[in-house]
Amino acid sequence: MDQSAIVLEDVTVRFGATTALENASARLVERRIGVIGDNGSGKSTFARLLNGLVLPTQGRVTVLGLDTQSAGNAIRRRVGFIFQNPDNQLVMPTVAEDLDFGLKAHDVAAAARAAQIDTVLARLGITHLKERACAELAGGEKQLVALAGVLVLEPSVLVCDEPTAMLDRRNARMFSEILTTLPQQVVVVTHHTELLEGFDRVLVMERGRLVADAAPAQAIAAYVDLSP
Amino acid sequence: MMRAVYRPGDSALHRMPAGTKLLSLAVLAIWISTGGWPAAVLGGAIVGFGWVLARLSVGDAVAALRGLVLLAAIIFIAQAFLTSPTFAALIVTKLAILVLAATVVSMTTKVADMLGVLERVLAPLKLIGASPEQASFLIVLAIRFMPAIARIAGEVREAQRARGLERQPFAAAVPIMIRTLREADAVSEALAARGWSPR
Repeated sequence: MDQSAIVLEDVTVRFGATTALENASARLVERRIGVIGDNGSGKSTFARLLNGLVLPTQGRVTVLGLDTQSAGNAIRRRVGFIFQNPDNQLVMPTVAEDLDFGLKAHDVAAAARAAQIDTVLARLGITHLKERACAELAGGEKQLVALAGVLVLEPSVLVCDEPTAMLDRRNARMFSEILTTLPQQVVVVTHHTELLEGFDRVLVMERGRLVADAAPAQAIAAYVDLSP
Repeated sequence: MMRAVYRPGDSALHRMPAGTKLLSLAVLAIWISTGGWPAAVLGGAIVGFGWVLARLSVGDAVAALRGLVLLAAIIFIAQAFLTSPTFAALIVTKLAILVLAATVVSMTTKVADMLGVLERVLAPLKLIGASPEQASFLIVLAIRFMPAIARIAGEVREAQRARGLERQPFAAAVPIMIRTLREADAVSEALAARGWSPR
């Protein structure tokens, strides 16, 4: 079993009568991977497969050697997930409490939690937000806090589902720049093709199928060709 | 609606154990709710003293009471009509004092500390096989997402006004319910992604 990659083997996902993803196979080892496609193309389902939020109806997904069918919790510890809307991801009233929530959920000892929170906030340059109420933050700040909430768990892989969809251009640019500095493997599902600048590989999805898999320039060109 | 969140500080109220504050709040609430004007006046004085002790401002009090205005007006009119203006004033005064009392506790107590107290209080749930941690977390989560539900309701009502449906309150009920359920679904997915699971 491949211990160093995310592997999809002939994966199909159905929700009732709807097929969201069909016969998808890929081996993801690159550091920066993008996934693009129109609404309903299956790219969000693809992203959710990578940390076991969605399980294959057929086929198999393994992440760093672990099968998502049997090791969901262990995989979620290793694969952080950023959602489109940070409001749904931030569950505690203040930033510090929210980060602490994630650490507690993974049984990190109390003594280590405070230091880990301070470290990740400093790394993202948002120490000043530590005691602020999540509900009162601006959109870009919320997405950074959501990112901090994931990074504080020190995942090996970061999956982002439309992370800049609710941000203005300045915040989207800032978020994108932060993504480029992370040591983790990053998989970004997005409509914003400019976010994929400098990426190693881009997958293109259409109607539940992987229809292109190439370097960003070629993949984006293939995506543009698909559009009517 | 109460939206007060913890405000860091080192006042005597900040340092007081969360259990003591919550128990005091419960006793004060029962005493004020069941008493007359003397209880309301004395209770108000105690809350005012707590407010000063916690180093909160008049602006904080105004912000805490702002969301109460419409509800208080409805209660006052209904009570004045059903009982007397004096009794209506007493009810509204008690309500305002209780909101301020809850606010001062919220603003001086970390949610994590409240969770700890709730878990201890709900510990007997273990006897019937339920999880105190899960129950206390759900309570905190419900409080956390009240502003989100208020936002959804506001957006839906605005959209209905734009369509000229402001006189049909039930027209807003279904979209509010659908959006709230969708949001709950998204939050549940995010919780799973962050590794939270019922224990």
